[in-house]
Parts: sequence; structure tokens; C-alpha cells
Amino acid sequence: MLSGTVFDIQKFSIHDGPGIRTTVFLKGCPLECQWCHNPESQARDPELSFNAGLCIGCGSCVNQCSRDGHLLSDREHRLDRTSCVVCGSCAKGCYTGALEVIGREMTVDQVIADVLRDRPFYETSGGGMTISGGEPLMQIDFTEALLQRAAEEKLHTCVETCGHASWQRLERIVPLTNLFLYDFKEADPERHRQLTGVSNDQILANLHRLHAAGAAILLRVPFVPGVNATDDNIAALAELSHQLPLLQGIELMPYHRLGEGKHERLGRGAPRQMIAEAPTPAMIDDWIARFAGLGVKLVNEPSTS
Amino acid sequence: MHLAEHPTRFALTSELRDMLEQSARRAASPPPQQRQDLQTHAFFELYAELPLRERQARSLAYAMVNEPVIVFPDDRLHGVFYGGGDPQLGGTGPWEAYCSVADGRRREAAENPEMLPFHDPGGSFIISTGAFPGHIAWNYHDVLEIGVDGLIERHRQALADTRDMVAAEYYRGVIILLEAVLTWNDRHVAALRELLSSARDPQARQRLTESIDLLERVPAQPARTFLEALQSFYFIWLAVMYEVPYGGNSPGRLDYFLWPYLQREYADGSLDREQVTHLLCELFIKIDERVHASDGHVNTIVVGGVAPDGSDAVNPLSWMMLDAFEALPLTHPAVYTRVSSRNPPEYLARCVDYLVNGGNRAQILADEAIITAMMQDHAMPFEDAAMYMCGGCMEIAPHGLNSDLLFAFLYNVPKTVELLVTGGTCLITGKPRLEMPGSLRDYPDFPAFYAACVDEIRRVLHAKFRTLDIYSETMAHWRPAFLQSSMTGDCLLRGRSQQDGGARYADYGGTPLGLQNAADALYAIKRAVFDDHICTADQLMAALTANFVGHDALRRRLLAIPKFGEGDPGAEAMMAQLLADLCHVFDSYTNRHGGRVKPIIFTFVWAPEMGRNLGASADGRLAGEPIGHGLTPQRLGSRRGLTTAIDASTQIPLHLVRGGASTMWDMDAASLRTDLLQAIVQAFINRGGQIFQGNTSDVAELERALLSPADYPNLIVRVGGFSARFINLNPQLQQEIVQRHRHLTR
Repeated sequence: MLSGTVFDIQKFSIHDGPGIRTTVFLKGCPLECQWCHNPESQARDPELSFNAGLCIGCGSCVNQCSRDGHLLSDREHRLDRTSCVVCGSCAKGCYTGALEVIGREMTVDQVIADVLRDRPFYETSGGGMTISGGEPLMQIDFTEALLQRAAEEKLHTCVETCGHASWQRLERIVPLTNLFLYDFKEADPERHRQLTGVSNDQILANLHRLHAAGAAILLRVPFVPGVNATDDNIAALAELSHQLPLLQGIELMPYHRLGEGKHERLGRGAPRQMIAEAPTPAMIDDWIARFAGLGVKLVNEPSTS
Repeated sequence: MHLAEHPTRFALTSELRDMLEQSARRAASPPPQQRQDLQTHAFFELYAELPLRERQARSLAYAMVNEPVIVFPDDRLHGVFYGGGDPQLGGTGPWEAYCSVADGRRREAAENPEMLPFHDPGGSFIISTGAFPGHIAWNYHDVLEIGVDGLIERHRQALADTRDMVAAEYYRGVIILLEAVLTWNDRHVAALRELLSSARDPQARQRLTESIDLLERVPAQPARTFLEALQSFYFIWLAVMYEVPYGGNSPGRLDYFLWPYLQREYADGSLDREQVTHLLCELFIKIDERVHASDGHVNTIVVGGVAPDGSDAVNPLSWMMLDAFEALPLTHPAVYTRVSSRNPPEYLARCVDYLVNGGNRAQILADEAIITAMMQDHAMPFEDAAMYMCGGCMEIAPHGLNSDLLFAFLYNVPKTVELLVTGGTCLITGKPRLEMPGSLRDYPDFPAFYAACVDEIRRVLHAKFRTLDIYSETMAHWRPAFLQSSMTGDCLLRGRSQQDGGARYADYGGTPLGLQNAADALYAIKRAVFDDHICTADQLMAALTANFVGHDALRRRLLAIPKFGEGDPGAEAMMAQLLADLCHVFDSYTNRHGGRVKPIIFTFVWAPEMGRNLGASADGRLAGEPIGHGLTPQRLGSRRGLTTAIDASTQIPLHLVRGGASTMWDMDAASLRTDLLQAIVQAFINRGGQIFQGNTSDVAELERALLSPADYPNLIVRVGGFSARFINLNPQLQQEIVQRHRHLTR
């Protein structure tokens, strides 16, 4: 049975496509966006996360680990990652959830069984399953198999992708995907490389090909004040949307800081430097107004405050 | 946002605003109650020599006809009285030898001593003492159809035909009381005539003349028009409430019963939607005035649903009653909605809109699930079950067919688990509370402990049910409720009052509280002590006794054990098993009239109060923390989101819950979308959920109201089966509502 690496299955997802959905987050992403709020999604392989705030110093992990990766002195826990092979033994015995393996191998059937538990809510809301990440195209066989099963179950499907993959991969799931949530960050290629680690050439090319293939696409733009929420980017995005008349629209994804703290838990050093302040409602309303002024169909609605 | 600022489909006129203001002012300082004095004078002086039944009837009739009559010249509907106690229920002084509560207490002590240890010594509540009457509706539509004259005639005929002395006494009592209603009505006519004699303004004279004509027609004779039906309903409803002034006594299916009287005038245009809604507002203001400040009194109307033949019963009045109540900043008469797949889809949309914009007063009842539960084991035919209403909060019973011990007690189920763990010591008082066969350490395995738990639940409940039988007898004897019985099927046919075996259904009901807390505690015990060996029974008992102080590590491990509501098969199975076993305990008792005892699962105001009576529990909950609501996962069990929690709450055997299974889903106001909520409610119904309610207002607004209550006089919140003005609630309840889990948060 085909399996893939999943790092979360989020029920009652109401912001990743129409209706009430279950979002399946796959592990592994070719981009390293500076603002990424799901850094645990970036590496393809499972990782051990340690949240010191939840540790009660019970010592269960010390006993479970065969590689002496956990040390306990004065009920204070220290983790030696150099010896860790992410076997998960320590996390299994960690009742408080301080230790957690991010990413688990799941079969297609296991994922679909969990997704189908919320079928009554999809039926009444027009919802379904969304595959997100990470980048689903990095696990194309698994993604395709999940979409195939979803189609058999007559579930509405969305795929959220950054588009940085070969067209051959993307092409495989076009017939199985009801709506692409296509992430696009920055129009300028060099600036894109600075912010995400890769150029946007392939992403743009795939977007145009996907559009030409008649796929339903919603362009989603993570908008970070002072980083990519710039006059140039707004103008370029407007131009891009005019080139793609079949787009369902553009959705701005205002930056938030929920990802802070995750880097340290994953052993990637000190807490990441905050890239920007979260935008205010007034700032978001201003963006919406500017896009509207350029004739762009935005799906965001102005705040009421 | 204040309730009054919500967009509504009906805008209050200045006339209605004035009426609201005057009604609230009058209700705030009502005239002194006279019933007790009048009835005492009549019972112990005027009629002391009469046989008991006639003495009871004449004494109450005397009080009623001598009740002060208050009429207001601008009103179109007439009749008012404020509150009033019933000395035949729990009277003091000379009444102690003639009232049902005192007699019930004496008899319980003598005949059911097994119940006595469960009485609360203070701070250690297991189950309530005594029995509360109320929580039913009666067949006022008989009066609309044949008038009080017609009802008297039916009872006269039955009296002439019977040779049963008990029945004859009953019929005589009914006739005495029905005649008293007419006399009291005549006094209103006289008072209106007196106003007319001094009125000069032609418009005022016109309205007074119309009122006199109206009251001269109804309720004595059949209603012919909508206004006559409204007055007839209101006056007879008020008269019965005078006799049985208990919480939860409700108008029930008012849209269903009034619609035939509006149909013609609505069709020919003599009354339009605006005019009808205006009249309904007047009616609702009148109903509210009697109990204005007592939000917990809960007189409830249920609109919509299906008719006894299974057809769609939504009619224009269903919509207009929602519009009227939505426009009024009141808590009575609460308007709840029954929904069925037979109803038009736009009606469900309206109900959900009411959930969002109805000022936290909506409650949606799912017909198919509720009727199925009522009909299980052939307990009643579809046509009776289809006529269900809420006796107050959600005490489910067929309208006008059940006797009035429908909500008779409450039971703190997790307290039983606590006492089984400790071996009978209350963790709040630290004192021995009950004799128990042993403590947790004495059970070899979890099945043995669980079996002891079910045995103890049976011991508590069956002792309580025997007490209810005693109280049913004392109530039948000391408070025959002639008027109410005259409008309860099949009292006329059987010649008995409703509590004396006259009612078609003599089901009692009671409320088991904190089932989710009990199930989570049991599952944690199973996992921690018996399956996973996280701790020993002694270690757990020590931690609970210390309220986890010094046992934080163990508490965190207990908190991490899955809870009901998170999609864990073990935790869900425990809740399902406990609910099924509890319902079987209820069903295993047949009461003195061959009826059942129904579990009615909701939480009313008791979440903090029951929590205060509970020590720390094995699920990691600290001593004193509130219990969960209805069958909704407790806060700890809401961590995997709304759909998973609803999935859990609807997978348990709800079809066994005959008396109503409520759930509470508080939503975050900022993220709430009507379309999303409609999808959620529809899925809840499709999955077999029974009752859906919840707050939709902003928590920040509640916090502002705590700081400056005077600015929020009409901020109404959903408490649990009923709604109340937030600033009138006690501080513990206010905090509980503020701190409840909010779904749909971003």
C-alpha cells in the first residue's frame, strides 16, 4: 500500500477552499520562505520536536531512548540531537506531548479513512479534502493516489501548491483536482530567490500552463508588510492576474507570527528573527483597496472594524 | 452589539416600545401577592367543613375570583397577575398538614429510607431532594375551540354519566374552577366598563369598547377571529398558571394551535404580517410581564416541526413568532424551533439566522431524532410523539398529554464516580459521605470498577424514582390541579387529575448532569490505573485528595489521556457505554402509573454549581471546576475542533434519550458565518443530533458588561436550555459563560 509522510491532518478547516474541509499536510517543501509559519513542513523526513514548556521531567524519554539522546539533570531535560535517528520511541512515552515526531508515514487508506469521518460536514457545506504542505508535488505519487481515492469517494478536492516542480508532476493531478490554491509570493525573480531560496521562473511557467489547461485556480499570496507587500509587487500581481482571465481571483494571506518558536523546537537554533510585524486591519483594507483599484478580483473582504 | 440593535425582520413600533417600558416598570414593583392569604382564608375558615376535593377547589376558586383585577386601557389583550406561590405544594404554617411537599417528606422518611443518605448535607451534592412539578403544556386549544362554556359542559356530562365517586369529585372540582375563570373574566369586563364610563377621548372609548366586546365573547365561547383566539389563549393560559405557577409550564406549540384562527383573516387580507407580528409582540410582552425578572422561569413556545400526520407544520405564524421574539429584548416566552426534513429549506435557514442574530436565545430541535427517541420500544405512537414540545428548557413531552413531574430532579453523576474512587469520602468536605463497597484500590480490574459504578447509579436513581412515586401520590392528593387537568388528555375520559393517573402519559423526568465528566474520569482511570499503569490506585487517590497539589506530573499525564470529543475510539466508547447504561437504568423502572422515567440531558445553571460540589477527578480536572454542558464534550475534549466534537456527540446512542439530549456549541462571534453554521447544524441533524444551542456573541462584550453592567441591561446570553440577562446571573455563572470553549476561532 502506497504511503506518504504526513505532518498534520486538520479537521474543520474553513480557510483552505470552499466549505468545511479536512486539510492533509504533507511533509517536504522545495522553498524556504523567510516568513514560513510551518517550518516543520520544510524537511522531507520526520523530525523530533521538543517543547520545553510542556516537559515535566518525568524521565520516560531517558528510559525509552537506546542512543542516550535524552539527559535529565535536576529534572531539567536536555536533548542531544546528534545521536537522534528520529525513531520516535521517546515521543511514544511522552504523555504531555513535549516530545513529538513531526511527520508520520500513513497509507492512503489511513488518510482517507480519517478524512471521510467528516463527510457529513462536506455534504452540507460543499467542502471536501485539501492537500497542502509542505509541497504536495514533492510526494506526487502519494498525492495522486489520495486524489484518486477522493475522486472515487466523490469528494471535492483542493491542492495547495507553490508550483515549484516539474510540469510533468503537476500535470498528473490536473484531472483529479477541483481547485488549485496556487501560492505565489513575489513577481520579481531575483527578489523571489532572496525571499524563498528559488527563482519564480518555473512557478510562473507552471501557473500559465495550468491556466491554459483550464484548471480552476485561486492565486494565494502571503503578504508580508515591508517584504513583498510592495508597490512593485502589487502592480506586477495585478498585471499577472490580467494575463490569467480564468483565475477565480487572488486571495491575500496576511502575514501572522504563529510560526515563531517552532524553529527552536525543531533544533534549528534560537528563535527565528521576526521578519515583520503582523499587518493591522487598516493596512489589510488598504491593500484590498489598492488591488481593487487596479481591477483585480480579490476574494478578501475588508474588515468591518 | 445590544440585542435591540440587531437587524430584525420586524421593527418595534413606538407603541410597542412604550408597552415594553411600562410592562418592565410594573413587573419591577408588582402589587403584593394575595393568593396565599385568600386561599388560606377560604381553606381554613370558609370551607373547612367541606370534603377535601371540594374544599380544595372552592378555596382556589375563591382566591382566583378575588384576585385584584388590573386592566390597562391601551392594551388589546387583558389579564395580569404577578408570580404567586401555591400553598398546596409547599405551604408552611397550617398548610403543612395539607400540602404535598411536607407529606412527601414524611412519607419518604418512613417508606423510602434508602433515599435519605443521598440528601445533601451541604457542599456534597449527589441528587436533589423532593420533586419539582411543572414543565408541561396543556390543551388550551380545547378552550379556543369550544370555549370554557363548552369545557364545563363536557365535564357536566361526564359527571352525570359516572358512577365512580373519585371521578365525580374530580369533575366537580374542574367545574368549580372553570366557573371561577369565567367569574374572574367578568370582573375584567366590569373593570373595563368602569374605565369606559370615565373615558372622554373617542379613540380610547373605541378601544375600550372593543376590549369589552372581546372579553364578553372569550374565553367563555369559541374563538372566531385571531384576536379572539389570542385573548382566549392568553386568559386561560394565565388562569392555569395561577393554579400551577411553576417554572417550565409552557405555551408549547402555539403557532400550530393558533394558525387555524388566523388563516381566514390572513388570506383575505384583513390582517397582514405586520399587524399579526405586532399583536404577537403584545402577547409576548404580556406573557413576560408575569415573570419579567425571573429569566429561569422559562415559558417556552416551540414553532415549526411536523404535524401528527407527519406533514410540514410550519405556517406563517411560525415565521412571525420568530420575528416578534427576535425584535423584543425579552427572555419570555422563549421561542424555540423544531426542524424536520419535511419543513421548507428556507425555514432551516431562518432558524440558523435566528441562532446567529436572535440574541443568544435560539434552540434548534431536530424532529426526526427526537421523535425516534420518544417512540422507542413502542412507548408512544407517532401522532403523539409528533406533538412534542419543550416543557421549559428542553423537557420533551407530547403537548397536553403528560403529567407534571416531567423535570423532577437533577443528579450529579460524576459525584458517584468520585465516591466510588474514594470509598465514600467526599473530596470537597473531606468527610465520609456514603457507605461504599470499597475504594478504587479494592477492584481487581476496570470492568469490576465500572460495574460497581453502574450498580451505584442504579441504587441512587431507583431510590429517587421511588421517592417520585411517593411525591406523585402526595401531589395527586394535595394539589389536584383541576384546571390544568381539565386541559390534559385523557383526564376527562379517566375521571382523574393529571397526577392521579388521568394523563395519557405519566412519565417522570430527571436530569443526569456531567456525563462527559464522568466518562472522561472513568476512561482516565481505566487507562492510568489498569491498562497503562501510569499510576496505582493509591497514587491516584492521593493526587485527587490533594487536588493535584504536589502531583503536577501525574496531572499532566492524566490530562494527556484522550477525552470524549477528540475522536479517540476508547474515550468515545466509554461515553457511549455510560450513556447507554444510564438510559437503561432510567428505563428499568416502571412508575406507579405504568409510566417511565425519562433522562432529560441538559445543564441549565448548574455547570458551576455541580463543579463546586466535585473534587478533583481522574481526567485531570481540578476541584471546583465547572462540569460540561449537556452532551457536549467538556472544554478539555474540544481540542480537535468542532466537527470532531459534533461527530463524537452524535455517535453516542442518542436514540435512548427519551426526554431530550441537548448540546451547547458556543461560537466565536468574529469568525461566525451564517452559511457555515447552517452547514454545521444540518450535519448535526443529519447525524442524529437532537438539540443544538449556543452563544454567538462576542466574549469581549461580555467582559465589558462585567465591568459596567449598567450599560448592558438587555444583554442576553444562552445559559443552558434557557437564556438570561447576563448582568442578572451570579458571578460564577458569568465566569463560566465567559470561559466556555468558543468554536470557529481562527
